[in-house]
Amino acid sequence: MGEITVAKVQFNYEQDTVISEVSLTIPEGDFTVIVGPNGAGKTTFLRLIAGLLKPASGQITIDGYSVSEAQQKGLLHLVPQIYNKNAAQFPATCGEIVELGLRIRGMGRAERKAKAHEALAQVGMAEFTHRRIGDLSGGQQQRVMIAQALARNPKYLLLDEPTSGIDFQVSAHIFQLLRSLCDKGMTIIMVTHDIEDACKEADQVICIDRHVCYNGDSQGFLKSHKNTPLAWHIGG
Amino acid sequence: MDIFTYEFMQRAFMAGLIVALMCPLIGTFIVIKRQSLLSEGLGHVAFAGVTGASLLSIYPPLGAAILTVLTAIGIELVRRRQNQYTDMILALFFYTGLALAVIFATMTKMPSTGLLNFLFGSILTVTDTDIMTIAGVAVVVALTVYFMYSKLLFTAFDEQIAVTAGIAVGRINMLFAILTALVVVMGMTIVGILLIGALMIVPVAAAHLWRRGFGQTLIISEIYSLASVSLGLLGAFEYDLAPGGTIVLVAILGYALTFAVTVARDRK
Repeated sequence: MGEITVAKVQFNYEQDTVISEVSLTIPEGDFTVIVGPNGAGKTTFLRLIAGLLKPASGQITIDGYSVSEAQQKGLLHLVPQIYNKNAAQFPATCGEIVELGLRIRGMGRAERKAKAHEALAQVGMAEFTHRRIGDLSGGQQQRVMIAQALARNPKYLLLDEPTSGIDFQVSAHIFQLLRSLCDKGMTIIMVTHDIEDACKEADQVICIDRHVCYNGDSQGFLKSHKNTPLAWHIGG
Repeated sequence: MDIFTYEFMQRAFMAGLIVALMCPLIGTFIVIKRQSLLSEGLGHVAFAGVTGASLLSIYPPLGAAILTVLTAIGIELVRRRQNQYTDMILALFFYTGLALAVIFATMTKMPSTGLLNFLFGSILTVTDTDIMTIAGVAVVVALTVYFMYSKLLFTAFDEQIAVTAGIAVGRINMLFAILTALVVVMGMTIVGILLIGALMIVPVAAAHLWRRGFGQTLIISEIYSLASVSLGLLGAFEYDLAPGGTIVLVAILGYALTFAVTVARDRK
């Protein structure tokens, strides 16, 4: 069994400690949701796992590998926030964007196109294969980004607020889609503010406010944090 | 056609078309990476290289190539530390290049006509050696883009996703900066230091108006670029105009016409 192990990780931004001595384990095959107040370090924590930031101290291992080794082995895929990103305005069709992750593996054109079409179909976007991503709505763009991840089929899928700015129906659809991926064996780690809906599908909730203030199952989190100041902060 | 009975025009077309092919190959990535200022500014640095090389009695294009490549590497190294201020970092390097160019230009004994040739291009005076050099650099650039295409494209799409997917984004960006520098120096002879940025950006900007996928945008950019250089050279010959300026104006005209056509099409 593989897993992500975070051991005494600390991250500082200039003089501020953003993540303080965090230790936890994210089991393989779980749908894990990371929640917390604004500025609590959720995205920083996700970026540490993705290898975009390096911890000041402590260690992160993925299936026993260092983060950079896990990147090289193709174990990870990050879906960053779609808004204000270059990706949303990239002059490429949805098909081309989904194919990007397959190109770097040296996959042939025909196989690439078939896989991209299949991935877009899984997120209900097959008819948009030849449309430019910039012409689509935020929810549709987000689904294309998830299709890109599906085509690569990583072991660990990291998502940073994938339902930010998206209406509740599309959000629910994205959460259900992620749940189904998880049921097929993919490990999902998602930062979100959409706690109620996310907890319906999640196995594990990690609440971060510089340090870990909750790490357990989703129902337990909802019960234990109801009517607390933290619940108000995080919308739970 | 009479124009092709002149050897200098044959050479001009040969050199011009090679550069026309290369510019969108790099320019397409520059535009999607939102670094349009890069080609423009590296041109300014190339001028410092030309004048500096002249002071040291070195072959001016070689001096331009060395200084421009070093600057491209420097920009990339600083950009890694201050990623959110890319345009400011570019500006700092380019002002430095321009300041050095001004100082070197006043110190050098290079005739002013020579300096003007580099500033505004001198496609009608290209030699066989120039063509061989341009062709050699073009082969290197084209092969590098061909073999690194997937990684260049993924990096341009989103650096964060590319890093997580295991691409050495820092190295890819460095390689791209060096390729840009080489194309700038190569294009210097054709349209001049002041206008090389235009040849890298304008055909790509016109192609973007068609709102196609990346692959088709690249092909359309190549068509615009080849047409601009060909028609620009023909126009310059026919009406006795400066070739560099004519080429760029034809490219701008292509953009304006495409803009009008696509606006009219979208209104239907």
